[in-house]
Amino acid sequence: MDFDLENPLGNFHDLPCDAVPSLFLIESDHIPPPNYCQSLKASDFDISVRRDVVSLISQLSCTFDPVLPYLAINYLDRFLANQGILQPKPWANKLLAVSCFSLAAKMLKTEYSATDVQVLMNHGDGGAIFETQTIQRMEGIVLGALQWRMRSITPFSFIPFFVNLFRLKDPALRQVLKDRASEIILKSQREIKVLEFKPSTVAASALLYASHELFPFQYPCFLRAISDCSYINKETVVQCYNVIQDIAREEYESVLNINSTSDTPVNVLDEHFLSLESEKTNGTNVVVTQEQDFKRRKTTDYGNNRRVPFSHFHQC
Amino acid sequence: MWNEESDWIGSFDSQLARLAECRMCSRDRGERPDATGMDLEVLEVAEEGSYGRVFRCLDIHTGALVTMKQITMVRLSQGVPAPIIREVSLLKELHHANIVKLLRVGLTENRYVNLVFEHLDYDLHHFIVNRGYPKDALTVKSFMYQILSAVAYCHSLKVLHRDLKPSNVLIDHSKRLIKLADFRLAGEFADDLLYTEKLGTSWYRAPEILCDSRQYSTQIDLWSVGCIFAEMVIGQPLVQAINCRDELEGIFKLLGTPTEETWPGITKLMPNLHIYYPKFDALGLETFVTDLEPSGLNLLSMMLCLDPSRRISAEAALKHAYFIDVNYVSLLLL
Repeated sequence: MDFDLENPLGNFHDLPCDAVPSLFLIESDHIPPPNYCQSLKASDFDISVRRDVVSLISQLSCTFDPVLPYLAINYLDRFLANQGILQPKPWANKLLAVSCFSLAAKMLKTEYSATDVQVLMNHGDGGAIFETQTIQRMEGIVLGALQWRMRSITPFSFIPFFVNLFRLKDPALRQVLKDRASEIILKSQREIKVLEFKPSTVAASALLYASHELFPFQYPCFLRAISDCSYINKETVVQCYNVIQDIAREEYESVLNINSTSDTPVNVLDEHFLSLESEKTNGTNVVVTQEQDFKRRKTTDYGNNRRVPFSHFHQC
Repeated sequence: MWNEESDWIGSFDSQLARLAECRMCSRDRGERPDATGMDLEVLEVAEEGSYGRVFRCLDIHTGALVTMKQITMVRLSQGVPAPIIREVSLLKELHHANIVKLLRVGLTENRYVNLVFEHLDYDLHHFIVNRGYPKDALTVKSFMYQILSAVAYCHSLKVLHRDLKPSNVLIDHSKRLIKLADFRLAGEFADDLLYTEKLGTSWYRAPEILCDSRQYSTQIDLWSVGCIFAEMVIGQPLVQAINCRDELEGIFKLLGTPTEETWPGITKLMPNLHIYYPKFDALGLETFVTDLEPSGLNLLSMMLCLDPSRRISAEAALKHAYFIDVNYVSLLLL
């Protein structure tokens, strides 16, 4: 076994078996407290501030590994849960975004250009240029609020563990599943509703949703593997799955808006929604008939085709 | 403390103002740091290290003795240094009865990261030198079991200690409780680890590190534990050389100069091995460690195995026959 000594967010499957419980047991220490989600919902202003800072972090991170913005947004949420949002100052949002991004980059040993950060942050207004000492001071404040616990456990930490449960033989298929699940996890972080769930639950739900899209015929086996995992609460996974499903549906709607000139028949999209709705009615343990299987495969292809322009648009 | 700021934006404004004031008055700083920002009273300077200083302090609120490690931040142009953030972050995740507890972390004067640890009476180095090494077999066994428990825990979390030696093994004397301290978790300090020539620093270093190998893993800690084990039994370090080359020669004299049979891959790692080192036959551990029971000697030989891939793991060591006759309940009560 070759330990990855340099990566504090190393892949979970590298850990010996007896470390499995410890990761599940301590993951709750690395997310905002339960009342954070409720206090955000109670204030439109707080939600808009979070959205603004999340957007800034996404701009800073658009060329990096998706774990980086996810980690930075995790720091943001934990910081806001601890410190609150008290004053509307645009420069404070930018400073907070830069600091969370910088701290995440340091944890992941990612090099970035401070000049590029400056240019990006000053785009759109004559806003303040942050001196390095200012950023350091803000970093210190964030570190203190998070009690220097920067090694956050994210849903990405659990993906290899769950994928191993699925027993997919083909490495290429495993990678496709992981990539799609990672994409879903990253998008879902923008939604406040997902903050209520633990990282392992988010990972399990995202993988189930991705497997349903990509491998519908094998989906029941994957669902059973997740259900049999003693570290997972099945009811919570169902709730989280539904939240993720709603987010993914919004994704399709966004894709449709972007490609309004597309000549794709509208009824294909209707078929997809109909299929999802039907499944929702029957619960997640739907029995796949031959006719439904044919229909679902077609809509999955549609979804795959539409992901590329969406990602491209978003990252620009 | 940062956590106590009720309005972080307002405090930021006032801190910027204070920063301007500090630049104008440019006050001198004495040798003894002002630790009031950490709610501590500094009692004495305990140690000067390459990365900072260590102080014995009194917690103003609890009256407890604590140890504060003050790390000077360098490369300030990039904010709080990444190696420090990563190292402290990992320390924060270590929760074990045999690992010294990091109580809190704070920044002072915009130049220092202060790590506040619980304080323990002695370290094993002083215990061996000043009080006579733990002569009774039960104490040695108890200490070894606790050290290995902590090391096994760290390795299960993919954390290496990297600098295990008696002075980093702290002792709560009244409870005969062991706590490991002074972790160097992050790879950023690997260069310092490899090339430090300070006296005594090479005595506990694994042969694969002394060979300048950068391909090392958890086994380096097991070698160090083996050296500590031997030192507790014989009352002095096993091989006391002044530099890496001589340390390696001392190891080869004791265990035999390695060959491809005893250490597969050694000729690739050290192509000039037989030019620089004579071909020693093994003298054997039993000639040096004479008062250790046979099962203890067997465990020691599995820790001080030249080939890292065949060296025993901490987890396996805890299950070794050497520990079978120990009442585990009494170990926990010790």
